[in-house]
Amino acid sequence: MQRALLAGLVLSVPLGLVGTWVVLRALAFFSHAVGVGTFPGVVVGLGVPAIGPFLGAAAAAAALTATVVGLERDERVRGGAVTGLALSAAMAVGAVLLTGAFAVATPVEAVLFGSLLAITEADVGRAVAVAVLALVALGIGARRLLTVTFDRHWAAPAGARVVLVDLGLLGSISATTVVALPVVGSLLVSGLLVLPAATARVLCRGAFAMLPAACAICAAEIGIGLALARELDAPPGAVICAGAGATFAVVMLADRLWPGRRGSRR
Amino acid sequence: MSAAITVDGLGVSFGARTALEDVTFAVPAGAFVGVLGPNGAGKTTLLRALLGDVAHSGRLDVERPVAYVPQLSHTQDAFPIDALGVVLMGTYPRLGWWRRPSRTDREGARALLDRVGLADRARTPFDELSGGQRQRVLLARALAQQGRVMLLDEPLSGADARSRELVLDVIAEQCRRGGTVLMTTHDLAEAARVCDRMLVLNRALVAEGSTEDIFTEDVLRRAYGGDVLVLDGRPALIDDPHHHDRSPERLPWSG
Amino acid sequence: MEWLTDPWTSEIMRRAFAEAIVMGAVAGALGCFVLVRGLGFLGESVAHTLILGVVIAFLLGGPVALGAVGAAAGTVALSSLLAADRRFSVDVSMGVLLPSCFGLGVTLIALTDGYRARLEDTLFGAILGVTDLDLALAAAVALVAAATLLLAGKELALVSFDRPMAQAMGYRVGLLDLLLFALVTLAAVVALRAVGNVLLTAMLLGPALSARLLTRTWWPMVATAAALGTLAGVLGLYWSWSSAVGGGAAIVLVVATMFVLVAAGRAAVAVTRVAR
Repeated sequence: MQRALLAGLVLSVPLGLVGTWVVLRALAFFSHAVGVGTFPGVVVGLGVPAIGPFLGAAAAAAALTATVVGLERDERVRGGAVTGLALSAAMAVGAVLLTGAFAVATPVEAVLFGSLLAITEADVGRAVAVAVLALVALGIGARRLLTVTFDRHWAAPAGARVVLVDLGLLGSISATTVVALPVVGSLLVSGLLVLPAATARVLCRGAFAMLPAACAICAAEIGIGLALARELDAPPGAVICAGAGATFAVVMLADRLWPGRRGSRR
Repeated sequence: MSAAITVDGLGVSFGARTALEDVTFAVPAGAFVGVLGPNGAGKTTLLRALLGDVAHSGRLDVERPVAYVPQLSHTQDAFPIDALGVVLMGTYPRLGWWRRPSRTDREGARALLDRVGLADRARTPFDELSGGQRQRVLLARALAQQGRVMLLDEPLSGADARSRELVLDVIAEQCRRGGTVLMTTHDLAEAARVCDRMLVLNRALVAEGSTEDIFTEDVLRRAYGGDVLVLDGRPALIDDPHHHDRSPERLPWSG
Repeated sequence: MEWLTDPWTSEIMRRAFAEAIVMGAVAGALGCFVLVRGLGFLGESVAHTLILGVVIAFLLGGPVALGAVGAAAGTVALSSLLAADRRFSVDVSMGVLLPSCFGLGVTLIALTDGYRARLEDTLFGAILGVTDLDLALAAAVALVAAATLLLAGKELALVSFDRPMAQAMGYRVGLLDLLLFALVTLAAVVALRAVGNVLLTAMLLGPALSARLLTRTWWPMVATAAALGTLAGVLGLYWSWSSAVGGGAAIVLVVATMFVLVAAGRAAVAVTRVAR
């Protein structure tokens, strides 16, 4: 439990930082697809000890990202349809793999929704590594992300290297997703990228202010959610997201009732 | 005096489609050039080529950095940033990744907002501003880029009278100081009024020169095809179809 | 030839086949609308929020189908509300709703004895456990869908392709949108039984995507998608019968493989055409 809490709090850093840009760039569906797409990778990794769940998840996330980026270029198949099919297919592959030796090795509920007890020291270590990487990468890249998101047409000739920025963000989403899996599971990890940042969006006036706000909100939601999950003996990912959703709803309601801040709404 | 912008045999293609073909011209420093042509003529493509944003054939010579005011419609809607934040973006290319905008930069940005008449709007969220005000903020951002050459893409379309006035004022000042300004527009009357020279594009360069050189029936027909009316022996252009306003434009001297 | 007729001797499999055929056709056809309108994430979100409605209905002792429909309606309503706020794109609205509702649903399931053990079935579907009631529901939905497409198909297609035009022509676009959402929800509820929450999107998008690559006009695309959906259902079940693979997963993998084959085939054709 201690380790889960430690990992969770450390994870709130990359989740908040990357999540801010997921919300501002409307990459929620993509994040959901990456999360779900790790499922077959984890199943394989658990069944083949030489690979292990982390590498399995990382490979699956990379494969799904490459597929989506490659196929979404075709204009005939648009609107995230390929993303939708890819994520469903990934789940199916995972489900199919759940036979024989793989079935025994895989605690399905824990893989899908996270676990309080099965967090290893290595998991915590990886979370720290990604947290540091996220701080550095998004710290350096923050202004480029800002200009590219707000006004691509101006940013590109001004020297923003748009392709690198885009790929960097997609890679960050994958990396954060993979290290967050042990705590919250593949089906709901995207919720932790989107919900705290969406809540921050309501509360903050500027994009840069959202970054620390999302991290703080995420940390609180993870902390409270984990404690509640232990009390209720329910999967942590589900409890955290339910709580995060409730928080978002409350903040939105408060914003409607007391529009004191001058924020753009209509 | 060498030209601020030199273009020689410029060609741009997107796959099978040729957007620009063998364009050649030179613009001296201090000039205010209007780029005219119907939709799809390649006006925006020309700007992008000058910015170094598209692959091209032929030679291009322009002094960098180039300040840019893109079309307003391309900015993301409802992005959490205020007017000052947008102007500060103009300083980013100069700063490099390790430095943050200094107090001098911030004060400079405020001064630029004041220059475009929006000093009291520095903290206003960008999407709460009117179309004309937003255009002015983008202009201030371009000024913050501190380029000798400035390119503007349709800066006057949809802007209110005060915004247009301010934009043209800033442009005039730039040119007085030796800067060079290129502006695309489909508003011929306005271009005729304010620009020193004009380029007329329709994939290729149809004509180049002063107002008198351009506003002949021959040139207008080659550029705009059938949308030219002849009234009292003088050519007049029917306004761009996408503007829903089908009244023929009278040329400045046609009385 | 025995392998062909063998499964049909089992009553369980006969019901499964019936369900798969009906679901494949309905999901395939209606999925075309989902595809064209870019509603992939909405479909996926509805698939996940259905679980919340189902659990609540179960806990309150009410009919499960009602809970499902209520959840779907709630999803559409809430996401529209959220997306109307300029700060949130449609994408983020779904990204907020899906984990919130799904998380709450799974939490409730975990707290409900007996239900938690069946979590996998809910997620991946249990097509082999299809009852006569399920079949009756599926048949009813198919009839409603067919009737609607026959009567209002042109209008639905128009509002999907050219909304301003439809509005200008005097159609009540809001109503037509609602009708479409209702149909897609019904299709989702039917597919839920067969393939489960997490695989639902594949049934809506897969056959439609393949059909999009194979056809050039609308109604042939809808027909092709329905046919492909049915074919995938049947083939998937054959695979499931002869191996240890679950029915829902097998069907979805056939759907995905179809798409890959069609896409690869088209690419190969394009390359050979250029080479010539």
